[in-house]
Amino acid sequence: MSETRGLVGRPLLRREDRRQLTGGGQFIADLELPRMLHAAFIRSELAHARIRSVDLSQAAAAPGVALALSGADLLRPLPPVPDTQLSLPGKWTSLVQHEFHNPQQPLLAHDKVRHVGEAIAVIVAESRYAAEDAVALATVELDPLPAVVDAEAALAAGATIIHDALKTNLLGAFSVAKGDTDAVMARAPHSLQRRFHHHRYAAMPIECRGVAALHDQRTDSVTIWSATQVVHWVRREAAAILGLPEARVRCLALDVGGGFGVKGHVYPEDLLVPFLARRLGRPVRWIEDRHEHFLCSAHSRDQLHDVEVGFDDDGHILALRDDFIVDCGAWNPIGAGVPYNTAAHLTGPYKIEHLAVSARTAATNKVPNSAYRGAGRPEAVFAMERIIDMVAWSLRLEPAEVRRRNMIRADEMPYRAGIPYRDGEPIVYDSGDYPDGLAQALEAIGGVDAFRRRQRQARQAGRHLGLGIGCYVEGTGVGPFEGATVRIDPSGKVYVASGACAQGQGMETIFAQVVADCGKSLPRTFSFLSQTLPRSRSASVRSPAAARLPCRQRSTRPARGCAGKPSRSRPICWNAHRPISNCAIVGLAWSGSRGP
Amino acid sequence: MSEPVDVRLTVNGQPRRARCEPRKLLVDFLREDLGLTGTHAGCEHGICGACTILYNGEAARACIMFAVQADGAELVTVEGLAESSGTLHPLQQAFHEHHALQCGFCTPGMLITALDYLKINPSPSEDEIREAISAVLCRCTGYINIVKAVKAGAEAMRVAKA
Repeated sequence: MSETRGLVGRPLLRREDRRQLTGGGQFIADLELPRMLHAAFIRSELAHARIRSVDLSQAAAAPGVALALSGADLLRPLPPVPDTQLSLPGKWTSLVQHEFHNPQQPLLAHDKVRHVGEAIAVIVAESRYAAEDAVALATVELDPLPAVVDAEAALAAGATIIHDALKTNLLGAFSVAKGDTDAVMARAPHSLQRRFHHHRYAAMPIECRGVAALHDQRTDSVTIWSATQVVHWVRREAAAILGLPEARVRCLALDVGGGFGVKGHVYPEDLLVPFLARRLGRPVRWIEDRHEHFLCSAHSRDQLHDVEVGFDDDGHILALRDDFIVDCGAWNPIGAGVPYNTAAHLTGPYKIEHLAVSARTAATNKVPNSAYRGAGRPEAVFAMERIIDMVAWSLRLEPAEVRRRNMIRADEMPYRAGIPYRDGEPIVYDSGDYPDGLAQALEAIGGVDAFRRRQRQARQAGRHLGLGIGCYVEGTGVGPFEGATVRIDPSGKVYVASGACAQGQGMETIFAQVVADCGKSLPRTFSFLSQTLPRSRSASVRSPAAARLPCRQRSTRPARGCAGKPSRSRPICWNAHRPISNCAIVGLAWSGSRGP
Repeated sequence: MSEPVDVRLTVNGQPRRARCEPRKLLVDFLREDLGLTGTHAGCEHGICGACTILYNGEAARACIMFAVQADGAELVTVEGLAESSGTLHPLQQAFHEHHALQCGFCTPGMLITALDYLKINPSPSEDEIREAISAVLCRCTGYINIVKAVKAGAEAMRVAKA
């Protein structure tokens, strides 16, 4: 960034490095709480089955076991609560035609298991070793049901139903459109239809998931430490499950060993562990092992796109239709997030006036599907870029040239995409020169003509030299705000807390830069904590893309958003579209102004 | 389960002693019984390399060894790399300066693995570094900065030795 002369935008060595380089980091598995118990799970080995019986009598009697609990046992003290998982922005719901069912995953399966690895029972014991010993003593009888492993088959008539109460495997659908796609497609000189499958991915951070919780009996409040990307979301759901006001639930993310999206939503363990800590009156911790992570942490992608494109003799795309299915697995933890990202990013840098996108989310007996690097965006780009290549090949035109012809030009900025983003706000591309970006990329390989010559020469020599071009415009997280609390104690030490969780992005350094620019020098002592804020003025309250939000949107967010007086925190509000200087914000914060 | 046994060993130059079950993994022993949580368990089956330590001077995976196997051994963990004054080891310093870590979870294993390799090859090529650190998985960095850091660290170590 070159916009300021301050510390933001200057390459600094990271503040978090020393502790990580010397073994002093604190990950969830490093957290030791007094009298802490350890949880281990009994998980399904079948993809789809009715639970006939769960016998935990031997497990409960094993040495060191404090509690053995099945899904059926849990139903009494913890009846299922209404859906807390699906949160669709109000503005979006008023603009996009949609229908979503969102079956709420029980914390432990009690009637059926719907994917391999789904938790059926939990053992809490004095050590992880003792808990795992007891897991081996549990007996579970499952009556297998046919497993649905294909999204199209899941939506076909007569398919085995995964969520019986819904009577359908169609968990969600929406459509978004602009222009008159039917008419324009019908009269386009050329058209093409293709099907693209984007297979499943698994994020696989080197640190698995994990959660620890402590209940304070005196105040009936719970502190949750989770290796999560979404502390506010964990708090909101934990408060709902436990029947506590949010003010009595605090969630912190310590050092987190990679996220990549797989830690970007709330898992049953995030909620069950606090419940167990409260019930047992002792801290409880669960550390996912790699076997469990392979078995049942969320996957991503797995989309099937049927794309139709209408175009003219010069390769100009006149209309585009994409009907796609997301195989969301057994549960749909992030609702419309992934498929709508796909829809909103489909046209990328291209000017396509007539567009019709419809998405269906299908339940199958695979592991639940959530976010992974891009969270639906790469699937869109893959479909779009493949279809552009096919348009070019069908006309025997250079694929790079077809891209250029379809790109939004710099003189067309700001460009209104004509559909809403996932927060419901209209998508407006504020600036950019995509044809120039493409030209620079092609120049970097010596020009496309020269490359094609090399390609032909290589082919004669028996070598297949490829040229792939991918163009991408990304809307990052939702916003347009991010919250933080900044406190300064009488000694000058600055404390920043934010719901934006770091999994290696260097947020401690980033926020120090931002705060330093407010005070015009790098604070000598600075403390950063990823945790829930007392007042949830944070985009990360809602956004599973918290990993990226503060870095890419604008690093000056906390200073512009909510700064506070040293003595009492008083959020100030601002309009993100009216930039003001950081110095102005400091002034506002100190004078207690409400801001512009 | 069987009765706990004594394990005596030297870790980072300090004699240490603790009791644990014979089945206890070395990585858990280091973390839970000796409080050295810098050694991370990433896969618990010897693949990811995050738990790599020096065992009698050679890189070893603490997640596929029992603590009792380390009885009488001399271990070095990531906590033992910096000087007691706090000055970072040249390789740690190079990781810092080259942004060779992001989340930091694989970093202890990466440092120990690289150090082990630099003992037998103090002046490695980029390809040799890549081969050496292929024993440790990192999901954040894409390895480029780690390779740069190992190269720079090797150079700093050679200078320090000269």
